[in-house]
Amino acid sequence: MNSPEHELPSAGCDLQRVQNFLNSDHYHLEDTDLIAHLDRCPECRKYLEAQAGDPLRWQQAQDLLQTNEFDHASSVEYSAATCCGMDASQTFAVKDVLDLLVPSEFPNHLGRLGTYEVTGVVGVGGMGVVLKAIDPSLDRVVALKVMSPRLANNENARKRFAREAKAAAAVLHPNVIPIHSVSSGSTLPFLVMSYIRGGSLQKRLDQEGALPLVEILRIGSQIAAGLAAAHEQGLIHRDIKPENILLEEGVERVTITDFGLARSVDDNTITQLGSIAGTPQYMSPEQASGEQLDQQSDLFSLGSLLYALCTGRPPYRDDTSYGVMRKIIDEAPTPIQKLSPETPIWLISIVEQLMAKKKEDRFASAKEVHTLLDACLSHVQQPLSNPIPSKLLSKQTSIAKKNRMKIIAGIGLAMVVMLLGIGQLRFNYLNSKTMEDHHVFKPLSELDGYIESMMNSKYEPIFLTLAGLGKDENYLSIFPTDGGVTIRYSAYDTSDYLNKPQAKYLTRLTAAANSMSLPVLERNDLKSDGTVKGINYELRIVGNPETIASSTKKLLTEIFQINQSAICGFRYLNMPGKYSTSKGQEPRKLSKEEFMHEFDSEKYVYMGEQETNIFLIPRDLALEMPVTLDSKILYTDVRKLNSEELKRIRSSMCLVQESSSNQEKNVPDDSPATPTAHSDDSNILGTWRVIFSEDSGRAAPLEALQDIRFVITKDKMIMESKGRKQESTYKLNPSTWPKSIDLTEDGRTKPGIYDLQGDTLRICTSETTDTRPSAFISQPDSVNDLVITMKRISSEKLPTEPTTQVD
Amino acid sequence: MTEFPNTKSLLIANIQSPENREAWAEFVQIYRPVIYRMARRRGMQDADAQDLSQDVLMRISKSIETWVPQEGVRFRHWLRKVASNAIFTAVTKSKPLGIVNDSAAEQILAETPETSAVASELQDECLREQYLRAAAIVKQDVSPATWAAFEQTVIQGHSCEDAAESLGKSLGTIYAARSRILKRLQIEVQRLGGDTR
Repeated sequence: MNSPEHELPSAGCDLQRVQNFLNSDHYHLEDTDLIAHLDRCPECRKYLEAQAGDPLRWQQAQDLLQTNEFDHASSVEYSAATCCGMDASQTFAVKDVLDLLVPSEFPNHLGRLGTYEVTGVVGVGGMGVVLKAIDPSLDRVVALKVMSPRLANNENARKRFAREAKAAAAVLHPNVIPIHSVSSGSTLPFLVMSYIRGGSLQKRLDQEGALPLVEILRIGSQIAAGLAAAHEQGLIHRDIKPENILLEEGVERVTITDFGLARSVDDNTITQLGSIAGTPQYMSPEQASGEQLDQQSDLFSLGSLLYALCTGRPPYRDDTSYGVMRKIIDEAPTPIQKLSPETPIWLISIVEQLMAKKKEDRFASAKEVHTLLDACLSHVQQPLSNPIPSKLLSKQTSIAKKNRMKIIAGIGLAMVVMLLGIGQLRFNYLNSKTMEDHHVFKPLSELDGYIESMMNSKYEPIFLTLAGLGKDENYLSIFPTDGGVTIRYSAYDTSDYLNKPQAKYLTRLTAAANSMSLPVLERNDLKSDGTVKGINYELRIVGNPETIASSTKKLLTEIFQINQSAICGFRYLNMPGKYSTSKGQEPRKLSKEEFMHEFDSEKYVYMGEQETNIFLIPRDLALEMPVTLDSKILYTDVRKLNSEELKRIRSSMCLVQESSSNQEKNVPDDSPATPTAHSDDSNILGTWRVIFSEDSGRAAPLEALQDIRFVITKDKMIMESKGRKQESTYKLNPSTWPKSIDLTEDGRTKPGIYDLQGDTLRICTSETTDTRPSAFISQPDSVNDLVITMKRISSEKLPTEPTTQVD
Repeated sequence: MTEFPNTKSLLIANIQSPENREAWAEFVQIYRPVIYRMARRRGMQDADAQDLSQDVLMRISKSIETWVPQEGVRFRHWLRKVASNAIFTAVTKSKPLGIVNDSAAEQILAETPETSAVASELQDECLREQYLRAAAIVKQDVSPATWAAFEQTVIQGHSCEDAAESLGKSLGTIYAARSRILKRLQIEVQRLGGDTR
């Protein structure tokens, strides 16, 4: 096939080969021999061209593909002309402007505009050309934004230009490009801006890809500050994108430029309704769908920009602008953590909130975003003295905030495991209209408050989605009823229900109800044909909100044996077939291959199944934290997996393995043997970090815990947090069950219990009473227990050593 | 190229068959800039020309309701005929647009020299937009260097020798590139419904 070139002598050129070459679908010019031949053979070139098209076609292509004067006259680009003739037209635009300059006396200058000596061309924008010039009166370098002469004839365009100038000039802020003056009366309207040496953010993105965290926060915070100033003037930028952000050389200053599309909110007369302006990739959904815009639109664009800084690419990409806009309206972008796993969760949550499809779900103002990003920047630069902004933590009680972080007691592995389960309990406010919109995730510890609010607001039922109950039996539902709540457990497939593993929940429910003297009603759930579909077991709890809450909680605790079993009965969660992993995000349903890859990388373990979906959870998350449903959970279709793979995945419950191996290593809990006592005294020494804490039934946000260290010496327990220290003495008594610990601080001794298993320590103390807690459970209002779980980070016994940051 | 999603969906609402929808979407892509340019050439300003193209397309989409599938008449061709009438009416008369009247407009089209000029202008503009769109498609499929060879020698009219030098390619490469693109361009133009004259 690739015959050497000399076999194609010009006397007998291989015309068929030329023909084939032309008709082939491959455009990478692979026939190098033929091309080499074409180099030398004018006849074959002629033949090639004639075969490609007759002279009329060549002429037609030349004539029709020229850019004409109207292709770029529109404020909205839509003709395909803008795709292919772009460079030519930009050259046109520059040439047009330069042609109208007054000749300069200086040979090196391009010309004169007003009193400005033009020395160069900076770039071409939507409305015209940006020139570099010298302002002779002040002898400073400025940038002149000159309106394209083609547009200058257009009254609307002139108005718009004048408006841009007015709008931008009104904003005086270090992060917004300063406008020195405007000249709109002359034939060539222009505005005078500061000349900023440096490149655009786009250029930096092109060169470096994703930026370091500190840079993202610094740039983001400054843009937000500039936007806040513009928004205060009632302006919308409408075109926030990396190209419009200038990075000043040598100075850490970010400048927003090109208010080319900025317009006053109330000035609606010129831009025609429905005409779309702006760069599609960073557009907001409301912009993409041509709706009325407000300042919130800029926040979305800022979110998209931050997304690009985190990942190195814009959130939405497609071959066509239309495709991009469609995606902006309909789709969630690829999760940031997938493209850039090291991005902190709190930053992801900020970006996600900015990029919320509904503008009311975004932040209230650019100012708020600025404050937040600024605080994050301080946190990242000096984590010890600057906590992460509390807005980013859940609204729940934070121990740090309440400054109740005294000496604490905790939970151990069992509690961690339990909490893993509880953390995953999923409450749905079932709203018949928009079920998907009302997902709420709460740990069980917050259930009471939840039920209370549910009763007060007469909400629809809560569905407590539980794990492992099997097909059609995946939830316990809690309904508001007159003066209380009804808890319903649905047992389907009744014929052999009692033989199924999940029957144990029913047994426990019945037992718990009996012990609380609550009657259990059995109601048949009928199919449409009148046959029995299943049985609903219902319990009704009435009383004041506290009673209801504590009874409900007690029931749930009993049903799922929360404080008794190291291995939780509902360790994993049954998830609905369709759910979002976090607000505004697509569930990460993976292909089998990706899923297996993640699993085989050993970073994920089995979490559970529901319907046809199988879920994985990151190993570290499963082991260390009370899990909240977040986008780290992966899932795929279980039917895609073969039985080998399924078996392998299902057997990967690291929690069970870990808890049982710990059980083996250590003397069983119920043994009061003295060797344990002795080993506890020495095993407890070291530095510990807090992985879970619960106060009055409320779990502390993890972010509040990450800086807390406990240094335990022979007789002292020192809590360190952000440079502060709190000291107390302690005394262990391992001969009781549970093992006892007394903590003395400021002369007051608090009774508590502890459990030490390898590198996990849990402590539970009563903060306000003299009654020793009996279980590692924090309860609201009643005993007011504090529960804390710690992981050992070093066994050194250096009480005065400054706490070390865990990476 | 921005394509007005909201307008598009609005316009498309009148069309039932998926096949016709596709034809219509393509039609809008081609005709919107055509109408815009024709309007601009007649002295209309940007916003007005945008409005006009929107208006005309709206009207055409409404008249689609009257389309009855007929033996031997393709939707595309019918659409083109209706469009030329509507556009003709719109760009030659400054008074408010009436309902597109097929036969009346056709009559006018056939009669005066002015109408034949408009008809030919419309035809040229459509062909031009088809070429531009085809070029955009082809440009995406080929390497930047290959496209540059075509752009410099065909569109900008530079000699092949100059292009070879400026692009650092052999002369044979330039010839091969521009010929293949021209060939491909014509295929695309035809696919987009371009007239072969």
